Amino acid sequence: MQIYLPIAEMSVNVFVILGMGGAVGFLSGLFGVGGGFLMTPLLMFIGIPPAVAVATGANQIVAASVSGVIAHWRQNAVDFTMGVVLLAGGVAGSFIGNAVFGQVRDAGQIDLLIRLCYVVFLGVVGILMLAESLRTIRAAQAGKVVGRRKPGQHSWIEGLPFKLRFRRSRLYASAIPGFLLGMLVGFLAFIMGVGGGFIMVPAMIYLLRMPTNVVIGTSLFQIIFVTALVTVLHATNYQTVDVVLALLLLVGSVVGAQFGARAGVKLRGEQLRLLLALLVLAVGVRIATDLLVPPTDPLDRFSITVEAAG
Amino acid sequence: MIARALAVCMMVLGATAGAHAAEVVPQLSADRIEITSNFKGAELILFGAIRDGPAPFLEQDFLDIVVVLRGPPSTVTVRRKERRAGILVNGAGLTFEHVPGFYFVASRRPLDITAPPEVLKAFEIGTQNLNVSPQPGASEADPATVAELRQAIIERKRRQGLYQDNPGAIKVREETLFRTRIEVPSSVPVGEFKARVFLLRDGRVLHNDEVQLQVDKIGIERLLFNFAHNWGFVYGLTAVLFAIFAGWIASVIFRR
Repeated sequence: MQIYLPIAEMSVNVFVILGMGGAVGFLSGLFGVGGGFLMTPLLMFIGIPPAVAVATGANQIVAASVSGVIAHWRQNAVDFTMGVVLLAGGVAGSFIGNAVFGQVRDAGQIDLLIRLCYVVFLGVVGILMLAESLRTIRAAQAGKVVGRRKPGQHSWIEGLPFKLRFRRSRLYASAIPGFLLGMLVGFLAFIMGVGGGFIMVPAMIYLLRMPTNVVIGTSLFQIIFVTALVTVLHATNYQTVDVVLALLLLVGSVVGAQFGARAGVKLRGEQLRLLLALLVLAVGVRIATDLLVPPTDPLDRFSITVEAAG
Repeated sequence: MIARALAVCMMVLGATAGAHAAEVVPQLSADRIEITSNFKGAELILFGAIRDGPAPFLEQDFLDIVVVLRGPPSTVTVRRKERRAGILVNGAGLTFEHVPGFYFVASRRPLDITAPPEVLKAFEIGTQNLNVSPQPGASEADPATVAELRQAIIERKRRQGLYQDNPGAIKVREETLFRTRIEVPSSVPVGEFKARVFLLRDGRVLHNDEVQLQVDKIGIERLLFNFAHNWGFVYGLTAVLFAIFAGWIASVIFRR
């Protein structure tokens, strides 16, 4: 069954989109990640213009994060002080992303920028996760327990000014690292159409030293507001948010996430992280080939954009 | 419906025969294409009548008919992908104007024997004869590059089914009635379309006439498109509120 997407201005198969939403939802439920970093590339692979894929992806993440944060809120697992610091950075980052996006689009390189960001961040995060999970698995086989650094250890981060008390996280720390992290995530949310959880969550644990139980809820809190802002900015400046597409993705991903979460219970943490790392790398490699290997079809060696009708 | 319209054409033909020079009287099977949520493309029939002038056509005269349907013009930028620092980057672009969003041509005989190149060029008959040229001021590019980039646009549009050349696709009955079928793909742009029919003899255009076609999004598609383009900020806010609501509904349904 075909449906016409009013903003993407193309006809797509409803079941393909629902299936994609379902598959990404399943994986996000399984791994406990947002899945934006899979959704946006998949949309691009089926021919949705990258700018529409990014903006619509952000809109879909708003919905996914709302349903996620409610559960964490009930368990009091949101550090609102840290959430606001991350959010302030996120707002700044989104506006920077907006300015950069406009400049690069006018120069005709926006597809390249989106793809480059994906390759770099998926590559880095994938390799770090792969190394970490392999180390954990090997250590577990050797019978050792790998612990995180002890709370007493000092680093240069603790010497920074603008200290705040983060009650839920039981931290007294500078607001600067949180702000900068939020800013990076806000920038990436705008350019890549992701929530940024795959960068924010590890950074909150290892850099900000937040307790694991408040990390997910707090990152979701930031992601909701940042992706909402990103959606509004994309809609206002570039008219690229397709609500019909977002709705279809949402239905698929909500259902898929339920099955994913159930399947996730049966797998061990480090095995899950290994699988996720491989998946992240696979997507990165697939996008990298578009940038590295010249197309076999001579016609694909041109980028053609229709600018204005009438 | 087509049969009835043909009958009307025949009546018009009968009533005024002999009063004018040779003419074509074209008609489209629809004057509107409406894009709805399940739009999969459309099929049109362009048909019409040929009537001769005070000096009737001779037996040995061969009449050529050419039908051109073109969509609204657009501005298109083409960039060649180039390898820089190992990765494929879009090179310097060239912007072309007056690129029809849709272009269909059908003829009774192959175009090269229908009319000489200058006539085809003058009336923009055939995708190769389109007057697609770079924006004024950007004409520093060498002619070979311009030709290559121009060809890339035409070839891409052809693959998308937006440009079609159909030599021999016009059927003529008894040198008076003609018809051809036009397939419009789902990716067709919206706007005003013009179908022009040329009547030729010995490579000269005797007469041409035009019919209009309007392609529009209707219903919810039109509403959403206009909303998004005219009220971007409000549309964005609505999309976000809608997403928050949908997320909340989902969490209620799947509360564990």
